[in-house]
Amino acid sequence: MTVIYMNNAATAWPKAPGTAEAVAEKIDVVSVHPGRGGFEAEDPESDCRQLLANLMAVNDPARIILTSNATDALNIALQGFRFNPEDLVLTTVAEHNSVLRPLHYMKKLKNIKVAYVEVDRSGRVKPDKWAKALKRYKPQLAVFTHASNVTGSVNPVEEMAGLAKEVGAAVLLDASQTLGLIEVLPRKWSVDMVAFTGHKYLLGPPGTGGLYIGPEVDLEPVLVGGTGILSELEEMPPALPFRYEAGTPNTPSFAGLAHALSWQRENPAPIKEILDRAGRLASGLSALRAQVTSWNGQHTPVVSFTLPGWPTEDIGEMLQMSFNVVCRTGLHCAPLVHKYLSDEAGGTIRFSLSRFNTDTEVDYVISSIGRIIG
Amino acid sequence: MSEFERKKLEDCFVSRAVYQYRLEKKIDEAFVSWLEKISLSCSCRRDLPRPYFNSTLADGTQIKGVLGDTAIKVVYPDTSAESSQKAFEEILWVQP
Repeated sequence: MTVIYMNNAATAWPKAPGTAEAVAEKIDVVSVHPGRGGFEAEDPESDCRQLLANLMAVNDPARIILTSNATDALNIALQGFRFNPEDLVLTTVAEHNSVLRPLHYMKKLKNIKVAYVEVDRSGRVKPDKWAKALKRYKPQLAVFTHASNVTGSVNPVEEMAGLAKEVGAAVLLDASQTLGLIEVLPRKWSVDMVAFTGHKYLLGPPGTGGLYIGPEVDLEPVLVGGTGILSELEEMPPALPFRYEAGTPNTPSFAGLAHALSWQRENPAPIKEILDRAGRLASGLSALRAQVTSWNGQHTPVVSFTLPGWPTEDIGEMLQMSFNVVCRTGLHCAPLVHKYLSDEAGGTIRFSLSRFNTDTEVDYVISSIGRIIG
Repeated sequence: MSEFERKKLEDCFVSRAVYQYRLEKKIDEAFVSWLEKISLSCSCRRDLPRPYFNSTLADGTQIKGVLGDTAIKVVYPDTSAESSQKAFEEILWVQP
């Protein structure tokens, strides 16, 4: 039985065609660190930086710091931010633990404060509540997700960032769920930093991610060590990207990401088609009386739902074990958002589509749910 | 006597003890019948492409899986995970 994969909000599968080969090829070639030891060599990291800079419409590729994942990037941003004790970070209840846990850690480590803005029943931040919280707390940093990984609802980034700027806050955007799928434009939107992953909608390998750092932000390096340049300095070199990239990079995986980015550039995601398919899935599930979280606006191809009387975990197990349908159930590492949605503490069943899913697969998934619930 | 391999599984919830047991032979109707005998409740969805069973023992331990596979998923109750695990593994070891 063929696997039907609908867990792309966790990690994309399949990857961009040729990605695995690009990784394997880089593992097989003789290891020469670009810029380290004076050899000319192919430089997948620089290729990634340039392709990512083009994708996000930023001028200077050196401002793209390559990391091992979005969590790594978020930690560089949150732990490296120059907080004073009692400073405040404003965030939202829709955040993933990759934001919530570093903030919790920073509360203890640097004695900062954190305030959380509520979301509506679609998992989206309401700008009026955001504005009110900004005026009340006057944060030094505002961090929020571009799209909820639980519901797919996309936040109005430009408006939220603009409001944060009005009170002097720096803005950190978590674009883990959106980069490669919809526009992410930090310079246009007044966003200072963007954290992202390579293995979701960029269709690259795991072990890749990054952080865009705008010119108005100066972070303390969190991880320090060898950079291959300016070795006589005791501290990390001031130049980007080296200042925030200590240690040997994951070159084979970045070769894979560079390949995936090039492939995406030549084959842009057919977003309308993917969203239509997600809509078809949501409608089919609603017809089966599933309680599907409504999007009420711009969204990613995530369909999150519960089935009254059915434990979410059992549905996920039956889908996977009996029907070879891969989805995700539970809290989705975003524990605070669920009390604002229609689900209870058991979380939701989540399908997250990619460009590679088909109408036939969507129909099979709907009929599988129909058979499970009788 | 029946050999098995045990692997701890992780999920979203803090206090749950979830394990996968890989058995030495494929799960068949005899295994489900055995589960029915030892369980407080046991259902088997034979109408699904791969029949799915879900049983609950008196102490709250849940055993789930599909016919034809070699793995079962076992969720031990929060309050007695250690003793429930010991008790279940003892009977799993001697299941026919």
